[in-house]
Amino acid sequence: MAKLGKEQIKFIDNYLDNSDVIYTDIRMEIVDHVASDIEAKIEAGDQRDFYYIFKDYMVENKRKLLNENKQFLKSADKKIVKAVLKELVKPLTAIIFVLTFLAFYLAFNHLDFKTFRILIFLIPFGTFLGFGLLYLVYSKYYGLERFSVIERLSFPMLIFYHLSSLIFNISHRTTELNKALWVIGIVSFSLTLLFILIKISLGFAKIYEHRYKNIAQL
Amino acid sequence: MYIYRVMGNSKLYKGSLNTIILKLLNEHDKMYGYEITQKVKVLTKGELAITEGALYPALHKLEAQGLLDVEVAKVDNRLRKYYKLTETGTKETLNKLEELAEYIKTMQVLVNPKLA
Repeated sequence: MAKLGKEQIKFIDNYLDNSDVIYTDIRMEIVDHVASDIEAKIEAGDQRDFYYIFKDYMVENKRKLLNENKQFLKSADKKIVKAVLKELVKPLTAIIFVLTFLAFYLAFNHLDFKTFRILIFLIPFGTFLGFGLLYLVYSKYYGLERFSVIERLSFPMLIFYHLSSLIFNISHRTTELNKALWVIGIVSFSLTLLFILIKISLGFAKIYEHRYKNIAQL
Repeated sequence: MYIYRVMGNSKLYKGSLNTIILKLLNEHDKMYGYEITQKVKVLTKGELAITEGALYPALHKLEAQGLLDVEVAKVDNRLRKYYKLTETGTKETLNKLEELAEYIKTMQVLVNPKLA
């Protein structure tokens, strides 16, 4: 059976990477599919050089493959939504929300208003930025591959960070307790979701680490 | 067209994609995407073709539902993602096959009562 060499596989991988199939977990499966198809063509008697076969294959299938990439991304997004919904109904989530709410409530009652506002800005900002920086430094330092679900989790994280940021921006009018309760509620909710998303991304990182442990051998 | 009969009407086959995948995985310990497409082609003597645009989303959906488990192995200078049935997946395969058999039986009664 005709088998493609390391260089040829790397060529397919780089081609797809440059065609915006940026996530390793998605690209890997497409690379295997393309390579298997090309190997089958060679096996069936195509005697041309690999690069000619590959070029013709891409002329015929590139659009389909890129569309497949979109389907993969949709599937990754669905995984995220499912994981968030699963986490939302867990008692721990309710506990985190209540504790966060109580902490902000106490801060509102015992600290001056300016300090309270700094807290509702700094805590979500610090959580978001801290986790983002940690991910960036860690992935650059260890030269980690990019995985779909983990990176796409940054989008909902950004949304919930912006939600708390928006609330911070309008909170200067909120010195009365009943209005402050809304501010505290929304910021606590956003912060809880940020924690959930961080927890989910760590969970997926573990799965990817276990599943793609062979990647270093390539 | 994502899953199609090379000659004829493809719509009739679309609803059966998951059952086809589960049935094949039930008969094999583990399979990878390309292998599934080729197996379907061989079994149906080229009558039925599953494109990757239909296969992979279906596989990922079944994986997300907990019916399939994934194993990644280094094969021929690249990584290959193998799918295999979970315990729930094995049970679901039997349900799906029973459903399909019932469906075929009912259609047989409607379309060709003499054979039913």
